[in-house]
Amino acid sequence: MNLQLLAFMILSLVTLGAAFKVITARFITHAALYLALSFVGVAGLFLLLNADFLAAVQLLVYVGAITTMLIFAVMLSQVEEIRQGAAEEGFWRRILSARFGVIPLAVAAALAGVILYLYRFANWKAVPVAPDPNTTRSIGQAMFTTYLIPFEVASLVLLVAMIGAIVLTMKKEDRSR
Amino acid sequence: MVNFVDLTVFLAIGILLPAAMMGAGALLRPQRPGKVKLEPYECGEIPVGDARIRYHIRYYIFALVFVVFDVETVFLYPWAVIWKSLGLFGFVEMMIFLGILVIGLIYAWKKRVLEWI
Repeated sequence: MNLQLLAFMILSLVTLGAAFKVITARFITHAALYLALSFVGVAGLFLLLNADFLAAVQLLVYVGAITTMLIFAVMLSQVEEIRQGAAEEGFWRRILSARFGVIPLAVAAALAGVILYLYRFANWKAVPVAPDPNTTRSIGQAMFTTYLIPFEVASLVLLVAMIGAIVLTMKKEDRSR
Repeated sequence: MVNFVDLTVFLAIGILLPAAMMGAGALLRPQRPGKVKLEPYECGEIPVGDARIRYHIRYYIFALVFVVFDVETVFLYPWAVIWKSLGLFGFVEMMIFLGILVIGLIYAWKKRVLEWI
């Protein structure tokens, strides 16, 4: 067994194991942390594909930003409602019960069917291309020459997002100051 | 091509070192858990109620500002790699990009969202 296959198997195991714990964890905060671990595994898989910039983006955006937003969403929501059910019954009893289990299982089975169908019958056009030796450099080269205007517009989009967030979360009495 | 062997060694040490330290600690220390010892630490105060409460919406703004600057960092990586070959032009480009985001920071500062109340 070569080293790359071994690395792939370890990373897949971490990704899938963490993803499984996301849906079976007792507390939703633990589920969010397992989701972060799953994202780290995906970042490792990107590294194996020689996509080092994509791996860095995966770590920064998914592990950093998305997980933070998720944890804050949990912190700001009424957790008592979420905790009933999940913490008291446990995952397996819930998934086997008719009330909670049938629809998620049906959706998961349908999705798995579509993925397997695509994997088996889709017409993949495999063109052997040598991987880019330095993806970050190529992306930078394109971003700062050809796609200069979209790059600068991206900062405006971020600015709008930030001001929008401030306006939406500030209360009226805070805003008057 | 980045050498990922270094990264793997780094990752392995990063996992093994804390595991070894905590494992050695678990083997060496006496095991006498008590009710007081297992309480969550709240700076010497006796903990009241549950840790999972609904937090104030004010904390959310810190998360949102973090996310904006997190995404900004994504753009800094490719810039840092080719910074020298771009020269002054690339420097000015990035300064405009950062300048626009600093406007957001100044806005947040002026609206006093960064202050603790």
